[in-house]
Amino acid sequence: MNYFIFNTGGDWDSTSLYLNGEEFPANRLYIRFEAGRDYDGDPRKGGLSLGGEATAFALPQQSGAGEWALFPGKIDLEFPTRKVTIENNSPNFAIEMTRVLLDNEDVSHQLLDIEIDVDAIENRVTAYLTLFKPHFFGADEVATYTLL
Amino acid sequence: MKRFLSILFSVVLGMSLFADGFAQRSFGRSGSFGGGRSSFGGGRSSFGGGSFGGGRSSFGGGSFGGSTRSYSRPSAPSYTSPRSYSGPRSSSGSFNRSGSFGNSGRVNSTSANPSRNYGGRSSYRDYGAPVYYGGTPYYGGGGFWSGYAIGALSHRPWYAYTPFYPGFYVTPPVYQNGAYYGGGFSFGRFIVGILIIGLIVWGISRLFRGGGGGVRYTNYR
Repeated sequence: MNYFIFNTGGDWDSTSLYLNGEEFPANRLYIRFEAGRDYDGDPRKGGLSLGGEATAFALPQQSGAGEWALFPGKIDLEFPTRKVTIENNSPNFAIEMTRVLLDNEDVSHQLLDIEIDVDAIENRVTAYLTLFKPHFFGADEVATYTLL
Repeated sequence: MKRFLSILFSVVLGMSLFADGFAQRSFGRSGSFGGGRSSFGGGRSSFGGGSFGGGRSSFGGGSFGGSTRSYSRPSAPSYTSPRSYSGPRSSSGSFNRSGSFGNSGRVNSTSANPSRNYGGRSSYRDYGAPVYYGGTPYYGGGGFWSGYAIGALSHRPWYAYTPFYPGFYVTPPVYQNGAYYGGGFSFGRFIVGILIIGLIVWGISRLFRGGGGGVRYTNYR
């Protein structure tokens, strides 16, 4: 079972990736989830339980090495102001079995999108998380949390 | 939709406030019949058909001093008296009817709408005359809401507890000293009815709300 820990302070020097307690040199870390939408693409209450699509891998710095699957397993993503934990231990990666925590709060049933792309080669960093928050009174909310 | 419901309630409320005006019809009976004449017949009559003493009369034929004097009694004045009587009548009047006007005025009613009461003062809207509910008088003042108020005393159907029925907005009368008093339109229930209907309208609008409407987008860091 893989247990990754990603930590960054906002620059490349403070960015690190560990696998099962050992540093994992990597060129790229990519995680993307799309869930919580109906057939028309409109957000609906339910999050990951409604199904969706997911891509998650780490690209080691070792030449010739292929993409390293993050799941089944768990990854902690520690950003300067937020902490995200993604866990899925199902052997066939059933997306409905994925748990997503934002600052230790389970947001699995509110998740719409999450994208984390840390590409050292392209010098590109993207990290955000989108939740759907329905409200009984007033308009529903689509909240985007910018992680980096 | 909300605007239509608000207009509808304004019309219903306005009709209830002015319902008294529709009920204030009087048949114009002021207590007397025939224009206030207190006498029947109205004619005059004389008794005896003439004056007392008839015509002249002369006395004697003699003379006291030789002259003939004739005396004539002055005609007695004629007396006329109205044909009105004081005290109890012995006849049944011009209409061949005796007794007071109308019936006893007591009507037993168990329906939500009380029967019209013509006893005593026979006006449509009568604050004084009660409506009898199961033998017990109800002083409700008449009007649109009093009928529903007295109907609240009996077994009400299920829809009477919904804000779509006029009887929902009335309170039942209070039993005191052998009669029912009060009851009628309740502003508290009216406000509750507005809240319930507003909640229903809001819930229905939530059902038909599409995905594109009513969503706001926010950003957090």
